[in-house]
Amino acid sequence: MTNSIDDVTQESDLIMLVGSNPEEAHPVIGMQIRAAVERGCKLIVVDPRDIGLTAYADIRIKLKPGTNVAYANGIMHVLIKEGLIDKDYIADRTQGIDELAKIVEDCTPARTAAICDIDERDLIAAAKLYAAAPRAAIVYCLGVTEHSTGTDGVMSLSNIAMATGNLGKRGGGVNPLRGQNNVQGACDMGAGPDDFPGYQKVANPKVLAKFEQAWGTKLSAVKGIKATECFPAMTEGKIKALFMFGEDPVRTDPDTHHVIEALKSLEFFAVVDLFMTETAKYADVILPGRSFAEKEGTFSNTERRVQRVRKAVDIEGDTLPDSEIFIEIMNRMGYKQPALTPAEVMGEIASLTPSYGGVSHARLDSEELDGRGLQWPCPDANHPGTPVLHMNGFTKGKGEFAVPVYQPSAELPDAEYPLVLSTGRVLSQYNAQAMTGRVSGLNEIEGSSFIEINSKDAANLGIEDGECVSVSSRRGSIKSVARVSEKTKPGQTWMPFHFQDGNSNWLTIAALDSIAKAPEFKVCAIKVEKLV
Amino acid sequence: MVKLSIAPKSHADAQLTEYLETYARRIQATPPGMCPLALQLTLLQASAAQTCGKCVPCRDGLPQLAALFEKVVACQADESTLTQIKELARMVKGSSDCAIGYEAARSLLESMNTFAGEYSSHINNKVCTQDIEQTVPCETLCPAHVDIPSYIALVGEGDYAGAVNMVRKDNPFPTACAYVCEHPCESKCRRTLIDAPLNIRGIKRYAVDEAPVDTVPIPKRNPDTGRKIAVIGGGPSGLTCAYFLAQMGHAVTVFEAHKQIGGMLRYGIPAYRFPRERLDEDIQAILAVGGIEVKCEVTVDARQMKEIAETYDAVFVSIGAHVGKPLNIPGSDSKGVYSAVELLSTIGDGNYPDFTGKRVVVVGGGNVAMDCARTAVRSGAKSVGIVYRRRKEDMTALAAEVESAIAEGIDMILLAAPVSIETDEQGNCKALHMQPQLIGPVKGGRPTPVDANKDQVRIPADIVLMAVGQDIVTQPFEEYGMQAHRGAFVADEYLKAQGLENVFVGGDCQTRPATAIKAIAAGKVAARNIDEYLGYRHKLTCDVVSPEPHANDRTPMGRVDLIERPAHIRKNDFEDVELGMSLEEVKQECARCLRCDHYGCGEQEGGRVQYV
Amino acid sequence: MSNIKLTIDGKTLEVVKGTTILAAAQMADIKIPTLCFLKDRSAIGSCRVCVVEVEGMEYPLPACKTVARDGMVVTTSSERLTTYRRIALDLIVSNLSEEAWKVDEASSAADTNNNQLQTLCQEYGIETASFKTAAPPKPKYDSNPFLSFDPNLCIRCQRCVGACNSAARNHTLRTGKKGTRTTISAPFGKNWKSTECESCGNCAQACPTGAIKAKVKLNYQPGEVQTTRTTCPFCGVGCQIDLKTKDGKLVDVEGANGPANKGLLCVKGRYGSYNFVDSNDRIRTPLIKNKQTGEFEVASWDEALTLVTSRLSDIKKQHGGDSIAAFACSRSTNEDVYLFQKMARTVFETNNVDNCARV
Repeated sequence: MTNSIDDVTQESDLIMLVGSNPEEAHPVIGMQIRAAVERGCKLIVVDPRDIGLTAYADIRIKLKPGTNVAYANGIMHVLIKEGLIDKDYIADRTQGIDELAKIVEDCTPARTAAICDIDERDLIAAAKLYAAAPRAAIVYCLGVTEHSTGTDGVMSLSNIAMATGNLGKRGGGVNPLRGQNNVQGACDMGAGPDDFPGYQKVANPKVLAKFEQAWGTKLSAVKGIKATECFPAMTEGKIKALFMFGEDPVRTDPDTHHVIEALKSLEFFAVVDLFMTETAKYADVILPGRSFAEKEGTFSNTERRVQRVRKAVDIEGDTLPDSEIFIEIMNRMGYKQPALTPAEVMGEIASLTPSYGGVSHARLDSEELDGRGLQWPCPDANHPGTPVLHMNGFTKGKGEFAVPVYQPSAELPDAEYPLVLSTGRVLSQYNAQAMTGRVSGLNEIEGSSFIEINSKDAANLGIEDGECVSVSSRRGSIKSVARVSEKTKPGQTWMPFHFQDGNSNWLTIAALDSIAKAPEFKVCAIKVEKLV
Repeated sequence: MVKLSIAPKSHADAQLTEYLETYARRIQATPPGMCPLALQLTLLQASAAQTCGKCVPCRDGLPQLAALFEKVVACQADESTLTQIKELARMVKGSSDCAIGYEAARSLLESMNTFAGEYSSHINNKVCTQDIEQTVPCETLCPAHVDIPSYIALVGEGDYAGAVNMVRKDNPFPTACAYVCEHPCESKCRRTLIDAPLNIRGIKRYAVDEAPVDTVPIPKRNPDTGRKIAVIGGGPSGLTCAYFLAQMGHAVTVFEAHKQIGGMLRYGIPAYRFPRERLDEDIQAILAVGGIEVKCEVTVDARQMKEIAETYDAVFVSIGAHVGKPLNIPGSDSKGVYSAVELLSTIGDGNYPDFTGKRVVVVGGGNVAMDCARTAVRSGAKSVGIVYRRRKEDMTALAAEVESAIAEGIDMILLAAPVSIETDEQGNCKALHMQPQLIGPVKGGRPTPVDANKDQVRIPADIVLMAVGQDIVTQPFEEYGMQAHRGAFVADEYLKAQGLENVFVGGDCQTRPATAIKAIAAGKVAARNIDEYLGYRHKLTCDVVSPEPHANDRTPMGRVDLIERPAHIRKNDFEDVELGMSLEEVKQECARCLRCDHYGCGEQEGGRVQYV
Repeated sequence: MSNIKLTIDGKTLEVVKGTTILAAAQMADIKIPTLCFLKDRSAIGSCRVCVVEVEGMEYPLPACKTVARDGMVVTTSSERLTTYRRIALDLIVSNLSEEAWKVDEASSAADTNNNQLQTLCQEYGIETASFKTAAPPKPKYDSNPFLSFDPNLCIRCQRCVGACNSAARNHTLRTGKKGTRTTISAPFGKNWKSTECESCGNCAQACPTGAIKAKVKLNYQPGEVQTTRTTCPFCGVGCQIDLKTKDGKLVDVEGANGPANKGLLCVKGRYGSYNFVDSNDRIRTPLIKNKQTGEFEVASWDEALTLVTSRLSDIKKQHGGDSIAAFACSRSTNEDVYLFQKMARTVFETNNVDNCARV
């Protein structure tokens, strides 16, 4: 998030919520957004499916899945055409508006509305309402990123914020809600092929040299590939070994068949995990991991806030702290990695990562911070952290407008697979249920697979609410239970991906975004049949 | 020797009479949302306390009933308790020696029908029905649910523009309501428990006099939504609807049959009660929102209505009730007999009648009758009388209006039913003949008059004004497809016209002639529901915050009433009859407010009727 | 924001305009007893335990909701205040069965953790209820898997109502009426599934008597547990939680006043964040797959690590570092992830390192 949770929920005059259902996926933010709306903050909900917050929305844009870029470019078109852009801000702080203007010139409301299957008046109204708000925040989630055009989706939303001067402003910003407790931190820490910690580029020779010097070893300058690209590479034999630390791609990655085939192709597969997951079953060796309650460290939340994780218990058994496992492996493979406490590791992180420069366990535990953590960038020990990014300009000088162009999703419905499937989360479950599936009450609230289908489609297929159905795509077929409602539009369906009794990932497509390589969980073509 | 005493028989009676006034005020201030069975219990307990102790049914039956009923109230009773109560109550009703007993039992039995749903909920669900929840009295009883405690506090702090905008959040007619609102908000004001209800309307009048609403900037309107809504009828309901829809960003076209908009505020209420220029302030402010187009002198017929419904995204029909009901008696078509509403309507466009030297008789007992009679006085009439079938206390006009009319020299000819109008050879009205009435049995809560065994009475009259009710012109709209029942349009509680997709209807034409504030409330509800129907839920800004309350001042203090100009002066002109409060008065009156939004139920969840 | 000055118990304080007497007192470390008040949840002033004397006022005012005004002179204890507070507590407990509020070591309601009513009764020496009313016991609502409501323990302070409506903004837990009596309509009855209740349990955390209770937490006394402040392991909001451990086992979790969550939690964080930790099916030793049987077999750390490092070294030698990929865990700590990618880059000699950010 460019801004903070408090900032968005307490300072904004308007929130444009795109592809995000915070009441279920980020419930405590959902609660605060409800509070914001009740205090009078305007709300635009852009989502193919009626979410709980839709009912609260000033304007509801129920667009076709996979058309976020078209929507955002359409908004941009209106902003430019109606003179609603912040000319001073654009002149002072950005570049590339003319190229963007050219790109969106064709994105007229009529064309956009046709692509998105919405009323063009609502598009115009949304653009104007957003522009009229003194402080307007964009909040988005996986509904934007989990598309083959996800990066464009994000950039096209950033364009809107930047063109209206809402970047680098309290109550504004572009705010992705990160799905997992430390996905922000994992990215910050360099768990990505292109980046060392703090998004220092592997491709930059100076950066490479810096880390080589710090770590005292030669490092590879060869470009790495992203996790989602690894599965085809495994199948092709390019990747022969996988060391995996706590993931369950058999359940959570798209197109389960291709994941299993990839894992089976490996020569060696090691897993660190707490449980015998579906994925761990394919491993050659499993090392027991430790949970958050058994270790010291930090998580970085969605608002870039580094907060402490503290050890509360030891569990019985022969387990080692995860960090010790990695240190041991490094030493055994010939790298002299001294044994460091988590606090000492943070010291090393701070010394090599400018944005974490002022972060230390001692500081996070101090009375000065009173448990409030530190929001990076926090370059030095006296820096209070940064609740809102870009307040005094962009890091790279001028903010560059991207020029995203709408492209349809990779797989569109056809005669054989006439319906579109999007997947998502429900309130009471979390991802592959490794944690939540072990709480019977949570399963009692929502514990098995279902598919939401529009009542018109259901009527055509002779399916009643609560009936068992088979759901198939080109990649697989599962059983599920139909929930018939108006929550999705005709032609569109929705499933949670948590449940192994009918896991939607047998159906989803491993089509990847060209830049971020996020899979297109939100659009694939399926058919639904009544089970007799 | 027997000595007689002039002291009361019971030494407490004298004090008791004073004390009863406290009791009466408590009953008057019964908070809205209270459980009716809890109230019924207090009535039963009061009845049991009143027993003289002589007869079994009353002396022993009422306390037993109260004890049993306590269980019903506490939701601890079952069907058998109810059966026992019924049996006992029937016996008490049937065999009590005096009214203290039988009347108590009768009202208890009656409540079982009146509040059948509440009884059932207590017995079966063991809780009150869901709508039993106390809320802030003034705000709840205001049909538009204006945040009254907040605007009183703002006036108390001297922020009159703030007060105007606080009213406007729910009601774009602050001035109209400052002058002519029937102020249901005052009826259960909690201050009544201490002394008397606040003069809420008077306080509002101070605010709009100090900060004329057309000078108070309106919160910024939302950008255009591209949706078009038609409002048929530019009265308080239609204009309120237009105001809120325009605030939301919709484009509104108001179709008005008259020359000017304002509806009954212009064509029904005389200027001496609500000066025209003050109405114009409200209207100017409403139109200043932007996005409202007004088309006057357009009478929408069935064909046009169809066209409008097809071209606009939604329609709000608020045509009011502008046609006078006729009184079909012999001679009612003679020259000099007019419909009251039509007379007032003509005045609305500035055409005052000349009744110089004429003897005027007005038939009817409502506010329209008072307005006509007082207008006749101001139009030079030699004498003005009001003929009414019932008694003065049965009149539907506000008591203050009746009093003012009497003060201006208008005769109240009561218990007299018009029978015929006598005419001369030219067909001019000469006199009204009336049958004296005897007030009779109570039906539907009101005593009904019946013909008295007396001779007819004749009063000379050059002009007879009929103010016996108003009709709604539903016919063209029915032809289009709207439903009407007994002369009024049919809609659900969300004001959606029965059987139609995008047509909403409200105000007098749906409720039958009622008050301005009810029409305003309907306009607001329609606007919100039209917005929702179009797929939006726009939140509107108010730009004012409610001031922090001070601790209650519990010292009893008289209520500041508004006074009127002397009758002998005011009856000669159409100037405003009423005088506003002074600063000293308004400050004192505001300080009496108990801030029920903050103290008592107002602060708990569900205690308010507010939304953004 | 302008400041105002007031005096509490002789201390002169300067506070921001709009501060309540209670908040001002707390800043100055002056203790005013409270019961129905809960910061950021409910300040309806229903219990009247926090009443204070204000100079110039005939009657005392509730400190929790009275905004301090410039020049106010407040006294927080007096004979009258003590009497009023005592009577208020007496009236409250007179509606309850004794085990709900009486301090009794063996009491069955001992699991009403942190029973604030008990504490106050002790402080004000309430030993017997003077206004005892005999009310029949009321049925419990306990169909929700996580939450139960026992009306017999409820003092109708409405802190739960505040938690649900003013904080979680879920608007499902409301008050109801039984004639003149206010009741709490807790959506935990038989029809719990058809309500909009999100089972977030913020109401239970707000309850001062244990009338609304989280079912899954184990019984403990406040003194028996240790509290560890940490960060919730679910989504990216970063709620701060207090893990409660008793004898080395996790027994409860409470929402802490973190910057992102302000004391709130969701159903997962509250009920799903600790039960899995010591779950029976945790893998507690290294496991190596027997190639013949396909079954995993228990191994020592040395065996397992030797296998890992030798196989990876072999593959690296044969096919180069880029034939290895390493996926990190986006649930794990920054420190772990840092070491993980360092491991991949230094000894696997590849940049094929990633995390599950995309799925």
